[in-house]
Amino acid sequence: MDELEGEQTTNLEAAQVSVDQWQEESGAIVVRISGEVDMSNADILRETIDPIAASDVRHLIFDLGGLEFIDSSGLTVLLAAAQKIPQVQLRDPSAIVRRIVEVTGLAEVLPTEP
Amino acid sequence: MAIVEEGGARRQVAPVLVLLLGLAVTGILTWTCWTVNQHNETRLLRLQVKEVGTVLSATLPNVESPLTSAADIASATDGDPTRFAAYAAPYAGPKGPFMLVALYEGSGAATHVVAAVGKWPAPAAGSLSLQSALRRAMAIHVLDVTGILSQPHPSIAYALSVVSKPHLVVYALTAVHPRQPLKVAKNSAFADLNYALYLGRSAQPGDLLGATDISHLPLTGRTASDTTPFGNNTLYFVATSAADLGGSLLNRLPWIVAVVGTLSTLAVAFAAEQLVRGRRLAEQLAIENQALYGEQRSIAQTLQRALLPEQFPDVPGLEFAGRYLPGTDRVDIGGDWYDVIGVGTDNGLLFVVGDVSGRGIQAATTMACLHYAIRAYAAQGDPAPAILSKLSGLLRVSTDGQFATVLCGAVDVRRHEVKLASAGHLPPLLVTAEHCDYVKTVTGAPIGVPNGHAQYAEVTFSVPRQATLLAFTDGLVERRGEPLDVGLQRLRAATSGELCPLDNLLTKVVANVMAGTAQDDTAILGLRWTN
Repeated sequence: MDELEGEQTTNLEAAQVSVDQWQEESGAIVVRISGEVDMSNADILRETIDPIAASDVRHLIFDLGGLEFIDSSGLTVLLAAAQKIPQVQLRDPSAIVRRIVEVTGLAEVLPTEP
Repeated sequence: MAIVEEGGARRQVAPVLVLLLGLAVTGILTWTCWTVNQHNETRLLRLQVKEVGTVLSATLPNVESPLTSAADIASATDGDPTRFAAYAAPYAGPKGPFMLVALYEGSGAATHVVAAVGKWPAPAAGSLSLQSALRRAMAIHVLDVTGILSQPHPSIAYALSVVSKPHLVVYALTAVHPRQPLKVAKNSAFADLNYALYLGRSAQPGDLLGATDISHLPLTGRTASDTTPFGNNTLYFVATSAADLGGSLLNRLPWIVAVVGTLSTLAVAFAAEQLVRGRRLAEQLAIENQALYGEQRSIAQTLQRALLPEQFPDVPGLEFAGRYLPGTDRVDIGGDWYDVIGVGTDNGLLFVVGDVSGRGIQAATTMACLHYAIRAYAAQGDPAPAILSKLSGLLRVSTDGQFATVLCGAVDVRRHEVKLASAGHLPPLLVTAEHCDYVKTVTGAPIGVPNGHAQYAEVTFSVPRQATLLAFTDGLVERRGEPLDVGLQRLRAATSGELCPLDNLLTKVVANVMAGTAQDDTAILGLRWTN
């Protein structure tokens, strides 16, 4: 973690999410998503991730160590990025999130970092 | 539109109240200022008139003293005419206060002039006015002041008896010019006053001694008066202010308050009217928006209901039951659906349960698109994996911002066989008298998430008699903060060994498994083999 580029936090009735991002020495962009993501706050995620997906980033890592819940609205944002960026990986997903990814047939599209 | 008219009527109330209140306050302020100013002007006028009275009192000895001294000389010299005339002469000329100073002796028919000096001749001893003045003077021993005599010229007559020799009376006449305006120096303390001086106790025109402006007598409007004793008579002084004694600003203050107050009130009332109008407009917009939103939602709900099968195909040996539950949050529409499609003539059929990501109208319309596409592909006779593959070409998460999970099963009723393909969807639950287990599916990527050229796999399994297959969307089992398998286990526990009618089973599942906690919308489809 050598460069903290931005952080956004929201406090909604339904769900709280905090998103921050930085670039690793390898050049990979890391976006850390903490809290819960659902339809009420997926746009916050989108505001951070869509610009990254639109750039020429080659490697994006979603750090999900603090992510407790993600619904299909949130997955949509991750999947849209995965369609545009050559290499997208999940880092440290919780068992709950890993199971959601697995059941949804996304284990290949959103592989977990070795 | 009733709303607009009602708003129009209500819009008038607040600004009109503001206007009335503002005008009332302005009126009260103006009246207060005016009253204070009037009170102030009256008080200042009274003060000035009092001062004038004081000044007048101070000048009266100019008249009384020479006459008193002349009487004293007459007393001391026993009425010596030469000595009297010598003393009185300086006072009885054009520069002195009197036109005549005379000494009379005796009364009635015996009256005669002892001495007389001055410009005017001494009145004849028989003159009635002289006789009455002499009589009074002898009786009261104070200066008798009579006026205003018209003969020989307008004048005031003074008569003063000599105390030790009552038969001697000093008699004097002073000319008055009531028609000549009194001159007031500009820098005098009384320069701001219009005033008139009368002999007597009131403003009788015949008693006028002088005035600053004789064309406007008697003085009217705001006046103040004062009296000063003058011998046995009185001087009456009345004045009105020619200018504003308290200054012009104080005098204009009521007008300033009235004009500024009225303008401010109008401005505030106008602003209030604008505010109220703006608020009404916003309220009206909100109402219209709500109506529009309600209409939209109603359209979407109608669309969604229309897409769920109202009646299932009549297939011997098979029963169907379905449920659609909107989420508990305020979005009443979603992208979940189920469908049962008759295929071919040989009792073949296809069942579908799907879930488009996100909520709202966008999800519902995408769902409609996929729903009809599946029906079209099924009509062409495509097997489940081919249907999912073709469906993949219709949606892109990167551009549409949506993806969908779809479970597609081809049922061969006679063979009790199901061929199942899944695009990221949860597996169905197979409930038999002995077992209750999720079907082991091979899940491919969801629709809208292309994954190279990976094909969807087909899993074939057989279904025993009296078995129930429950296909559902994640809203049924997913709870926030809980692993998915816990929810799946809950559903399994709720249905295990249940042999009740299919429709009752679904009701039970909804009641026990969801317990009203699902935020997401949920679709459930049940199939039961009856023989």
